[in-house]
Amino acid sequence: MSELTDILQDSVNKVLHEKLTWDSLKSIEENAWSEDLWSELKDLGLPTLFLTEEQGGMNASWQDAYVVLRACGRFAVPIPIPEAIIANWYAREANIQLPDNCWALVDEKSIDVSAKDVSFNDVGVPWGRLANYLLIIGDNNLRVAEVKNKSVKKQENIGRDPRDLITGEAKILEEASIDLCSNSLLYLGALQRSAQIAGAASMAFDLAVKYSGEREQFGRSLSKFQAIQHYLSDLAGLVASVDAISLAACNTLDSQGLRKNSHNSLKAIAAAKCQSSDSVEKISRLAHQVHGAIGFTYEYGLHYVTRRLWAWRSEFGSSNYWGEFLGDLALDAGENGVWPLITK
Amino acid sequence: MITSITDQIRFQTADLPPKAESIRTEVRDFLELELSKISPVKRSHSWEAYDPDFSAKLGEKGFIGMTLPTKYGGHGKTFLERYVVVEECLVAGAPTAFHWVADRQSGQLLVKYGTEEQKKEIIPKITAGKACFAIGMSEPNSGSDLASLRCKAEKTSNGWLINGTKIWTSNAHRADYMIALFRTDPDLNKKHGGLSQFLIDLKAANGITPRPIKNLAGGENFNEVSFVDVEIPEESLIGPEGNGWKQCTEELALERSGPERYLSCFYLLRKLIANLKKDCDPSVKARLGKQIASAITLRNMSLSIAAQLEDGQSPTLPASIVKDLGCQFEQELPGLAQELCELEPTMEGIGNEYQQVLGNLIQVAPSFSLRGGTPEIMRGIIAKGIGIR
Repeated sequence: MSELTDILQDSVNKVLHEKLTWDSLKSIEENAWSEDLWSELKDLGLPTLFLTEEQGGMNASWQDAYVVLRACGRFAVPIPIPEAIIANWYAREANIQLPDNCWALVDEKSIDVSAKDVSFNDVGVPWGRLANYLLIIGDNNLRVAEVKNKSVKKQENIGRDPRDLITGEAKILEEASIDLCSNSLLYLGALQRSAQIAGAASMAFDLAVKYSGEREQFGRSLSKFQAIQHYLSDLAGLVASVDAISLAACNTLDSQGLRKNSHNSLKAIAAAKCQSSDSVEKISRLAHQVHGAIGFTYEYGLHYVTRRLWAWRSEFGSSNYWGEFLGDLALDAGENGVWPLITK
Repeated sequence: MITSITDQIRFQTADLPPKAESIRTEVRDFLELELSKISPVKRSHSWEAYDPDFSAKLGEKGFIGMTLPTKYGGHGKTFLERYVVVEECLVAGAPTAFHWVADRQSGQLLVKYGTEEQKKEIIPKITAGKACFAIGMSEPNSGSDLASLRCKAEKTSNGWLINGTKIWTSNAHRADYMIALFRTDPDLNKKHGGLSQFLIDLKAANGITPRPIKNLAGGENFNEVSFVDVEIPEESLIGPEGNGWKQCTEELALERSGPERYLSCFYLLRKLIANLKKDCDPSVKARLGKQIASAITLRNMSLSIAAQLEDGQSPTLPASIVKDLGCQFEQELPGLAQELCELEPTMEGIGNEYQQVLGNLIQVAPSFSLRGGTPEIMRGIIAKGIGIR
């Protein structure tokens, strides 16, 4: 781990722990936004951590960014900080500076870019109701567009995070070429969700351990029952494995990039999202089981992370989607190529 | 909660250094040549297939005892270099049982606790692939509850007198040495403190009778071993008297942390892939792909442990996690193969290679979660590690 990783880990976890209590999560959920949290995290430099130091960033690696993305999952961050982090990674790749608050990422394929100014129709954008800019990601280029007018169909995922559909027009402010693989947004979205799942899973586990130590039945704490110990040991392994593979994917991305020939990065991301999505079912089931009925209440905040785990599990490709991707690679590699596929 | 309990069990990504990667091609080329004439069923037995000739050849190549000190004939290489050799052997289905235990743990143990004479005499034999070791831990009434063992070693005027029975001792009927845990203090209340480790020369000692136990698949690898008034010399004691439990725990960390804890069925996975069509049903591909994702995940975790060993740490908790997860992975594979491919499992010599390998592994897979400590024991260790036990 680099020094920056350590600093980010400590500072981000501390701030999010203070800011995102269950009470504040509840209130943000009702208002769908917190300007206060947004400006605090912006002041910490989180959205721009990928930018170079000259651009005012931290020149972070994916391994550095991982601890922030994971913390965003752990504390159920209900604003688009992860999205903003990825938007600025694109900006660094294209060597451009984004306008303030440009974090809404959209795939070029979902936008009509035939005219100078673009139009969009029912395009899915997380927190789209607040988007003043769009960052349009194509296979070879990047466009920054300012939204001129829009109508919003307000929607939420089961984590209660806004997943709006927006319709309207935007004016292109800047266009730059990028040298990335096709569908880069899908891969980065999958990696982002993987990291968030790792974080949310760690919180579900910690809450289960804490609760099992406090709650007593039959004259002893739940954690003294072997059945509960096995649930929690099982959980520990699953949480550690999701963390390990998500971190490993970041490591691969750092060393091999996300270019057209970065096959190992695509494979690592596929493995991370496949494994993390697949583990969500058991992680959330065990965490809830240890909690008993209290974990099923709104008042107790386990659901802030488990509802997000269930939502993120499907976003940017399910375990089946990425499983098929990896299954194809394995079948193409054949009997003798499947092991090299794993070791590379 | 600012920090997570899982922060202490994070598997930092470990990259293999170029010198470790460069061994890979050499190992692959060697294995391709050596294994072509070995039957698919024997290859699927992998680290439970006993083949002294193969081990001697592997030793000649310098691929056994790689991490042992050069002073005693070892190769002074890193754990990561050894890791590459071990994983390549497993995936290729190399018959490594003859030298497996010696290479994995006995050599390490002797280097740390053995006498100078033992090291000089035995380590060169290990690295040459010419010493087979057995592990004498379990007893008929002491399985998972190992510390309750009763097999005893009594001090005599010129050595030790052993009486009792060990069980599930792989290769005891053909091994050269056994490293065994005996009770040296009859006070059962002393549990751990009353145990000591001994090195026994199986070819020299009298009064040891191994009785092979046939397993459900027909194999005869493991034994019940009886010791009746067996006299062994004074210097057979390894390490200080009463230190056996601690030494055993260190040995088990090596025994549980390796890639064999998730790769035992990888040879089957390869044969399964050869028998699936490239345009098979997407749901079949997805199931296969999930296994690939798990394999990539487990390899990352396993490699991270190898790096921790190289750093001189004793990663007991991470190793228990990987053994528990890895074992689930490898144990599920035969059943999954049956779901994905219509070809039936067959006996050796009947059906294609995939069918024979499946026929073997589906029968031996139940042992995967028994050898080296059960999941129940692993979960107990994990529970202790996360502070709830």
